[in-house]
Amino acid sequence: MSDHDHRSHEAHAAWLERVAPYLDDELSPDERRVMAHHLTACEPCRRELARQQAVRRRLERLGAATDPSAPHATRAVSAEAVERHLRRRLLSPARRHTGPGPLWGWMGWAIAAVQACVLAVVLGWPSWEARQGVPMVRDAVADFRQRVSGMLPPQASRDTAALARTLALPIEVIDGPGVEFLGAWPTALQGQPAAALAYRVEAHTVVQYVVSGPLFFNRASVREAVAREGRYVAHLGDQSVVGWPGDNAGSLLVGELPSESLERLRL
Amino acid sequence: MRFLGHFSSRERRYRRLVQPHVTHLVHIALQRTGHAALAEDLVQESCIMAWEKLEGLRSAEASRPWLVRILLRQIADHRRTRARRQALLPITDIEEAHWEAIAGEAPGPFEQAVAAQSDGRVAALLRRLPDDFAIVVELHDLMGYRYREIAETLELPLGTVTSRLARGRRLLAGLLVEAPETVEGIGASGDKEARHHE
Ligand SMILES: [Zn+2]
Repeated sequence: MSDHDHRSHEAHAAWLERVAPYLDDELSPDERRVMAHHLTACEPCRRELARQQAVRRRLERLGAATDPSAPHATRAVSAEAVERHLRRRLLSPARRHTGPGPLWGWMGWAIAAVQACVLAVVLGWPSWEARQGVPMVRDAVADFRQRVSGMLPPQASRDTAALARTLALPIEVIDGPGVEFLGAWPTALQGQPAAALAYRVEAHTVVQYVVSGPLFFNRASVREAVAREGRYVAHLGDQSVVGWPGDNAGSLLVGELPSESLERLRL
Repeated sequence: MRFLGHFSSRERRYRRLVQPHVTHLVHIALQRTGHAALAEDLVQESCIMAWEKLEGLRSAEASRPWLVRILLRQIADHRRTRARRQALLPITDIEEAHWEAIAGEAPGPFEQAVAAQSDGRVAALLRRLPDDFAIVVELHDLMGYRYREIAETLELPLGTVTSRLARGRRLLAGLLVEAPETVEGIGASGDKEARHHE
């Protein structure tokens, strides 16, 4: 084995090809024994081994130094820094409202919301929606709190057909025993057009927000709740929210009533 | 989410199958691109894609290779559309020089020269290798993959992994000791790429 032509790697290319797997402990025990024996007699293969080993050692050091999960590695970016940076970038209000027109505004927001939702999951961030609610619902409840303390807005009207045309949203007024429709007006949730419809139910004011289908279904938690139970239920402070899908739209009913009472209203 | 009293099944799946590997993805993206902001973007895009395609993932064991493939496609797409083209390496020349050195040289100086290189230089030279070689070398020597894991992740035959790893190391060896003058250019082009990304 040792008396072949050592000066040409082509003379024993098959041997040289086994040097790296030998170094990396990827040969079978038999192959390994044979290779070890060859190495004792073959200078070029020993040099190849030394080179492969030198490069591997140097790269292992580099790998340890750049591994973001290593506890004491010197590194430019840690996983935590990545997380902080992404949160700031994706959840900044500026990003939600960029873009020249309503379409772009909506798309920008939708993309940011999808990213934020994914990131919340990616980055182990369970409390974000727990604290803040789904953004659309958060806006609806904020709007409700503002309305319920005062009068109906001056532009409120009973002409929901005109409002539906203006906003290009299908609006269906809730009609039932003990439900009095007060008026409807245009508003915005997450920067997108929405219709608000106020009702009096017993001594309470209840507001229905009608939004576009894409906004309604933007969040996975809403999609999955609707797929599973036909509706979405949330509680923020004193307010309950019940959401259900419509014809390429969705409704959110907000009120200071138990969610079961709100659900009964829409039946 | 918790305020609904439970995690959705997709979120649970995501937490179990994807989240544990995000740090690993960051490591690969950082090495492949050399830029933190770009690496973050690419990992983020990959995570969004993983979230959307989660149904396609069959088992927990398959999740890391699956995610790495998604990330590598993102990196390749970025290269194709945004980044400057990789300068072509004179692969044959480097390999010839390697074989001549193996046949003649006394051991010692090469090992010392390689060990003395800075992290930044080694990482930058690694990015000069053709992607096919570089990714195999990185997964093995930087990230500790076994040959079989690389074969599975990159969907390559084991023999191809074996030869690409050895050849990748040889090419890198050639760059490390035989092309010191190219290093200045690497730093500059790296900066250009960073600005391009901003
Ligand atoms: Zn030999």
